[in-house]
Amino acid sequence: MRLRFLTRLRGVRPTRDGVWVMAAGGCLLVVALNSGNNLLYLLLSMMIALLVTALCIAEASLRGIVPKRSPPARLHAGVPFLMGIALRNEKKRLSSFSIEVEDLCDEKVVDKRCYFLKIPSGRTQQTAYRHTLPRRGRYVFSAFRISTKFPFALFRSSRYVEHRSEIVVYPAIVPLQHFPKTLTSAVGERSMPKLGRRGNFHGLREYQTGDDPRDIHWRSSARRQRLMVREQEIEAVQQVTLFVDNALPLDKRDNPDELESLEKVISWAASLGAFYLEQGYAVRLCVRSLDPPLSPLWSPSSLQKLLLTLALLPTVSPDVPFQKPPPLPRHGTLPVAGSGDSLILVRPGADLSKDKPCGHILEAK
Amino acid sequence: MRFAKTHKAVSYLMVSTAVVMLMLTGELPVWECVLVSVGIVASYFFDPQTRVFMQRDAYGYSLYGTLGLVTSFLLYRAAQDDAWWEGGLHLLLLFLVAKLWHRRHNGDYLQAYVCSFVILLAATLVEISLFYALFLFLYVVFAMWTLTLFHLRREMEENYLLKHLPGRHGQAAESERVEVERILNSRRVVGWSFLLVTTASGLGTFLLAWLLFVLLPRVQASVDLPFHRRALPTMGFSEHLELGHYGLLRDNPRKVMQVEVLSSPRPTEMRLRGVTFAHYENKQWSQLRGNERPVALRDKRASLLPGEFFPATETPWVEIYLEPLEADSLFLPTPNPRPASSVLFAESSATAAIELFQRPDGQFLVRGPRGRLHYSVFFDQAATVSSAPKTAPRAYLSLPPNLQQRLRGLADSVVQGAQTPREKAERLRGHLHKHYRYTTRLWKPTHPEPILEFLEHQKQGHCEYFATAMALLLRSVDIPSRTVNGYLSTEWNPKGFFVVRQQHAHSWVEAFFDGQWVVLDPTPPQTSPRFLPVLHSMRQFFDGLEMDFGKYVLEYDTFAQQKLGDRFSTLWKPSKTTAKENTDFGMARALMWVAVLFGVLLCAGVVWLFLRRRRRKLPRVVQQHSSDGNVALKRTMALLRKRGFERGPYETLQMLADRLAEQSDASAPLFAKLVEHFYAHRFGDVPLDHIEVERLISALKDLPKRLSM
Repeated sequence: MRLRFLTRLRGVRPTRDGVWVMAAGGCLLVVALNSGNNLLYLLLSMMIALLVTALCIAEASLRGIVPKRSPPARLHAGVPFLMGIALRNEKKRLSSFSIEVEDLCDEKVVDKRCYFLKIPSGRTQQTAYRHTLPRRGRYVFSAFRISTKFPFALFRSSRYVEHRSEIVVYPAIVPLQHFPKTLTSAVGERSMPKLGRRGNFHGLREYQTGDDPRDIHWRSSARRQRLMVREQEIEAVQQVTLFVDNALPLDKRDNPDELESLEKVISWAASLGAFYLEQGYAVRLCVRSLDPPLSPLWSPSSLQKLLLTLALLPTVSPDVPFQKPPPLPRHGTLPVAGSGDSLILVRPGADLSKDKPCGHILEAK
Repeated sequence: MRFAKTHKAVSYLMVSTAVVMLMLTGELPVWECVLVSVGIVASYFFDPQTRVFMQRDAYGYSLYGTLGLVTSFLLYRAAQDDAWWEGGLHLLLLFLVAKLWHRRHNGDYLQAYVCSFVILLAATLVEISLFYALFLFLYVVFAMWTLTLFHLRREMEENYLLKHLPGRHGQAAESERVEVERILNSRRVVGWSFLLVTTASGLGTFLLAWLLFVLLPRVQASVDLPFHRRALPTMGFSEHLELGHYGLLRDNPRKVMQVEVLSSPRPTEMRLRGVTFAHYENKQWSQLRGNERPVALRDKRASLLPGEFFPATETPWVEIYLEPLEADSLFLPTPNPRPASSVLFAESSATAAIELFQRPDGQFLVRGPRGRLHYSVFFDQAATVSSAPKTAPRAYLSLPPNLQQRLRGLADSVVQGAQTPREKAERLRGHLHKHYRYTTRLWKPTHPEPILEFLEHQKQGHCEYFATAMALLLRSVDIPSRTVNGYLSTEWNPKGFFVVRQQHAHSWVEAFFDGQWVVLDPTPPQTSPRFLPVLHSMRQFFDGLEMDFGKYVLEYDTFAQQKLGDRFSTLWKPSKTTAKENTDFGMARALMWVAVLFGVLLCAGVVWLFLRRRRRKLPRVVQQHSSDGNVALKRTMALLRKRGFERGPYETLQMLADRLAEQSDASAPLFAKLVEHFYAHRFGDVPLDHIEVERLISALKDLPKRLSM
């Protein structure tokens, strides 16, 4: 409702120079009224006309401006990113000058401003601003505030343009100092199943963001008119199941330390998941939730699913049970697991030191 | 056009226009005008940013020290001479020139602009000519160019500081500073179209300014500002008359006054009396001795008749618009044949400050600080009271002893046989016309009495010689006479007024016989210089414009506003009006049409904006989202097609979802949720939840294939 109200609002505020000019105009009005000098009246009329013209030109400059947001493909909490802003001038003849664009995130103005000196008619200009989102989760960029001080910097005319973008900020991927010993020793002992050119041909699927462009099967892509990648069968795959304890009692949810600790857990979980997926492991994610678990992930391209799930992971009460690990498919697409399955429980620990993993690692047979 | 150069050029245009406006007021001495002009022009070609010595502290200290000394000196002089106005102007110009020589930052430019505005304000306080309006238009246009480019430059330098370099995965790696020099030298920011559009905006602004000028209420608190235009030094006309000057009399075309004739028939010439002279001695004339009598002004009106009353049969005669002159004379038309009976000053004339006096010879004087004077002269049609004395004072018969004999001999030889004083006067006038020549090339007198040299040897001279000769010759035949300095103009403007210029200054004679003073002009008529017809027409056109400027702009007051309002209400029913009222009527009508046109354009613009806004009710953002929803739907349908489910031509999404559920397909629950999202977005105006939709589509994709199709 507030946003709808804002989009109908056109703000005009005088700048510092504008206040001085209006004050001078006021003094001139007093002197002209006092003396009756008609040339002073003429000068005063000229000043008023200039102010009116400034408002009209500012309005004309803001008309026909359509903004568009281009967020990056992947965002992580605490990592600076460039938010692309494009402005299109839909006017047929007039250029727009000196346009400032501010983004609204969760109906608050982001403290970064993009400036466009000139946008010729019918053209699009692009720029970006650097920003950091501190926490994982869903952010709604709801609108833009477009303003200009053109032509004389006497007034700032602004208006809101609704443009909704939902961005999911993934948990921060942190460099891990410790890995479970058994798992790290397993790395390299067995074959490293990966998607690639080795191994038996398994099938074709559509290209997803993150896939290696070398895996694109061009003939199929040309036939189907969309990008297709080869999938190779892997002989054996190590699997790891991550249990992420996202529980926090109600009475602790106001404690910033507890919240910070939980965020670290999720961040660790994301980092572990990314590591194992990169190493070719099959990863299963189990969290405290009543919803069905995420299906097993076994290629680096599925990292996005893992990060998306962790990004949107809500905080629950401790009585919510862990999800049952999803069964690994035995037939068809995925190869069977090798011997053993490692279970890693990542939950808030008492030790919040930076150097040690924030979690207990259990090894399972 | 390169941005920085264009900005510099238009800045100088704006500043120079304001300085020229001040120079045109005549407030600045010539040397200062030249100095300032040279300083401004030279500073244009000087680039302070490339001068290393200007960056040093020593230079800064010495500059400020010098400026401080000069400022102190100017202030001291102003305090000593009580000339704060002139001192202020000197300081203002000094500051402006110094700023232009040291324009390094945006702040320097801004200070120069403020200075130019203050100069414009100073010119406004004292300017009264048409040039003000013309230059004001130029100032408005240049100001629009300048302020727009200045704003862009300042915004550039404040905003274009950092360039963000992209890192991996869209993350920002680092930022580097951007030099704006490249942008300042760019040709792509401003072009001719930019200046043309800005000029058109300037024209619109100027027209709007005029409309506001007409509409702003005139309320005067009767506090007159102490700023008035410096009085014009009169060339040709003088309140002193001395023979013996030599050289070349220059024609000065500068306007002194405009005289609008209100009565009919229109005279062929306008003769305006200024000052009369009674005594001649040692080559010079002096006025009749005696005390000046103050003349009372009641409601801005003064009687010129003895007894200070206003005859009931008074009729408007002329309206005189007199520029501020150094001379104190109140110029009145010569009796034609009735003399002036009263004078009425217009509202615009600051009559609160002026005083009226009458000299013993009947001359009227205006004293006190004043600007442009506008007054109406009335004459008594019935002429019930004669303002002329029954006999002229004896002073008007006095002759210098050393001239009596020779003048009498010459006069007697001319008037021989004439019976009446009128005949004698005519004979003397005819003699001077026939045997003497008018010239502006004044000879250097060798005789101690130039008038004798004129009469006996040179036989050529200008009007003062002729008038002196005539007056003295008349006195030598016992006819009282006096010389009169004033103006004589035959320059009629088709708009209904005489233009009186400096070059129309003239001397003539008034002789007293038949109980009245009779005007006699002994100077032979001169052929006026011929202008090209087109130049003459242009001159008349600009004179007319200036007259209208004075009447409708400089003197626009509450009464004029009321009159305009009354005219608007009676526009459709013109009644019997005089020529003057017809002119006012025409002007009011023209203004009315301008106002109506402006109002129509304004209303049309508002309606057009309203209609445009209604047409664009849906913001484009919503349309964009609709297209996103379509893309998601297409992908979903493609996935279902792979699973063997094709949507029928008349099947809705809900019907398809029901069909999937009937067949217990694994995709049914996912598709049902997708349908909910699509429907909510399409029909409920709910923004599409992209994240959830992507998740569902992704889950749909991951579903195992159907075993049988």
